Amino acid sequence: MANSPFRKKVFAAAGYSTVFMGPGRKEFDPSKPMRGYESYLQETAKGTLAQTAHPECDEGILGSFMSARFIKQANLPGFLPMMIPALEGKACTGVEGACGTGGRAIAMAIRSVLSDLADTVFVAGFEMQNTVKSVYGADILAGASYYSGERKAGHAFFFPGIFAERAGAYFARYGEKETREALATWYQQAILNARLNPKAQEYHNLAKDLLGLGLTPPDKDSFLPYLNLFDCSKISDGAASLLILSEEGLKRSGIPKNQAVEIVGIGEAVSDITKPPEDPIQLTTTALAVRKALESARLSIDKIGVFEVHDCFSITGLMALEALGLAKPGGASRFILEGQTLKEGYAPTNLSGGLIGFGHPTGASGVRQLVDLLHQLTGKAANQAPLQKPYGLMFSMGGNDKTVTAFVAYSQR
Amino acid sequence: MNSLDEDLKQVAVIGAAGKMGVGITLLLLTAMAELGLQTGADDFSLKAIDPNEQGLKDLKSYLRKQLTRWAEKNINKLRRGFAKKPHLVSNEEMIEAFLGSTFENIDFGTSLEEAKNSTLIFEAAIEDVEKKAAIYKALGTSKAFFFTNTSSIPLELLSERGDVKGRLIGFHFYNPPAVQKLVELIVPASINPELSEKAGQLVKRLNKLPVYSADVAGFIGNGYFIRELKFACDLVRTLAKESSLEIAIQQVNTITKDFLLRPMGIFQLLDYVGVDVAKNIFTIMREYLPDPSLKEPLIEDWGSHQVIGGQRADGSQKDGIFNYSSSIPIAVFSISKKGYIPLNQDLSLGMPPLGYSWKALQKDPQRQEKIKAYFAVLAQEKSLGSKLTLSYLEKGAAIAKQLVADGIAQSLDDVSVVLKNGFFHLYGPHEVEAICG
Repeated sequence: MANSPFRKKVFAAAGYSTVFMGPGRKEFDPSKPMRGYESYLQETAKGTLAQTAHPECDEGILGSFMSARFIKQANLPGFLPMMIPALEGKACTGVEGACGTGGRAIAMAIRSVLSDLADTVFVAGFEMQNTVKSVYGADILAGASYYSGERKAGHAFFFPGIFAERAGAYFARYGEKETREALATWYQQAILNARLNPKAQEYHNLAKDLLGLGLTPPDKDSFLPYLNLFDCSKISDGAASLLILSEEGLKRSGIPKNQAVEIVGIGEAVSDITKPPEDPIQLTTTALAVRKALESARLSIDKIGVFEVHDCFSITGLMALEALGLAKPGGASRFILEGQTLKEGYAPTNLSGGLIGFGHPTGASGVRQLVDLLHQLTGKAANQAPLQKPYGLMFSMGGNDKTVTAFVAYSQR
Repeated sequence: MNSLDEDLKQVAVIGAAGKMGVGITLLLLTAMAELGLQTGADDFSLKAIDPNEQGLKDLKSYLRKQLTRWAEKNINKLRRGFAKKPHLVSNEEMIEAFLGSTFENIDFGTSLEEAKNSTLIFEAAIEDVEKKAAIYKALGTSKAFFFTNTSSIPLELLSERGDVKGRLIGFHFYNPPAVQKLVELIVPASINPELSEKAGQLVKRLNKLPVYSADVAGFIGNGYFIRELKFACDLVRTLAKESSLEIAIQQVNTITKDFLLRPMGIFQLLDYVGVDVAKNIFTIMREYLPDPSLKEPLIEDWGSHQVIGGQRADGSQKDGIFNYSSSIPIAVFSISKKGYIPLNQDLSLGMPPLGYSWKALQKDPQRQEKIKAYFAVLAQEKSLGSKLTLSYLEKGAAIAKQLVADGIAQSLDDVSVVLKNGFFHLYGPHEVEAICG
């Protein structure tokens, strides 16, 4: 049984995600005026507060990657009192860590609770990417890399190009055929999971031959070598939120303990963004963050019952399995093809749909992942895993494996 | 001889704001801008010339919108083209730079004078021998090569009247030029081989599907269409003896749409093209083939009742032989009543078998087998519709064969390519032959 590494217990509860909206959802129509970001923020706050009897948060944290460009809005702390009236006049903070923003935001909240500055911290993450056409959105998202050093030579859609290079290196090292089958299977599983999740961007995806789509041969003339469109998470709008609480805060909230999870492990690792990856076929920083999280919880990976991994691309999800130590180097394809990431498998992963199935509003994903772990570990998930072990693990990654935060959560049931 | 790349640096379009001119201008502009990206030499010059000033303003907005979409869609080409420009980093910067430099290279004007330095001149003016000839005469002192979009006027005649013998070639786009792959190439007898060669290269550069037509009035496309139209009108007169002109028009329109599996009936197509436009082509073909039998009383009648058709600027269908609601026929013009009367519900044709439609078949990968099966079933049917369809098919096949026999088309395959691409037919005349025998 884990001991929390912290001087006092820290809990997560009252998780909520909005629908992640974008191409793929039936109701998505860019020719009509789209839902404003304020509406997403208000919805997620309402969703979290509805689960607590005590809306008096002590602090608020709002994470977003590039709102300054997508919606021309900064000074995000100022939105927290709009979302949670009780935060008027209180300490509010904006957090950014590219696509790993959510993880950093939760980590900051944990610090506030541990420092005794707060008993209840409201944490939210959001992003609005459909405000611009994807050809321009790609420029904005490229800011997650070392822009002045990398954008010029990069692919038109940038990040798919970055991970296509990693995929190419992985294929060269371990073979393309089986890896491609595993990536197609990853896509298939992401969509099948999303079909069970009404909030997911791919919820309405009824395509018949998902595996066939995942096996579409990459076309370097129209898109990229090594990766096809199905290997990529889509452009999304969405928000997610939860409360990070001390034991005192949890008591005050009226939320029963078995509706919360305890954060028993944290691993944070950031790597020099100006340098290329140590090894293109490994997520080195992710491996470090996850190792630290497991060490802080005094657990080994085989003790974890459910996972939320940052699959911005299918290849990222595949490599994550090796970074977590679930599969040995080169073994991730087999692991996936054996069904080990399925609900009934050894390592139920991304049962929410993950980034590929749920969507990836960059600032929201990390928070959304902990919300989904929370639901799994409290038995409330739409696609519930039969939990054999009471621990969940997630990692939230920013850029090309540069800004990573991992958490271990412990079910209180 | 200049290379095509060199020639593509100084191009003019006369009639640039016209229905076809707009698309031809966009097509050429895109080719020139793309060449600029590839070579790094973005100092080309495109002159868009038209007497209609408002039309030129509309053309400018249209070009900006379409070129922006092209740039966004072809961002990879831009990134390759601008790879050596360190200050252009993001997609947005590249698209802005591309649009900026491209638009600096276009001049919009109302005077033919502006084209005097162009090496390639595309003429898409009104379908009139004298008006076209006047344009060539005005620009003939330059050393330019001329490409005319005429759909019916013989090239040798135009070359003589316009004093540009050897320097004019027929380069007939179909609608819309930016999208429609078919181009009819008509080479007059006195052609300068350099121009002939250049036209062949250009058609490839523009990624078009060329079909060569002999230099005979109407060429292949109108050669087929006008003769089929005459047959359709003859059939209307025959059928009208049993009922009325208005019913007969609807019957033939239905045969040529629902029974023949085409996107539109022949009279709706005539409205689409414009009754006045078709009348003009009849006149040109009658005079220059020559063929005195190409005179169609119905078209003259419609003309005298201001039944014209055509499209509005927004692409919607104007009233003509039919009265339209959202481009769908809802009434038919009665010459005797001088007004529109409601469509007849029952045309006594029976129903075409198997419930197929052009719309569904167009996307169907099995359409060839289905069409064959359809006509096999139809051949056995006894309805009026089926019988009329078979005789119409026979006539169509005969017209196509005659075009080949007369040397206008090089083969039935070529006629087929024109009909399938230019007119969106699902099958060619020799495929029909197999059924009709």
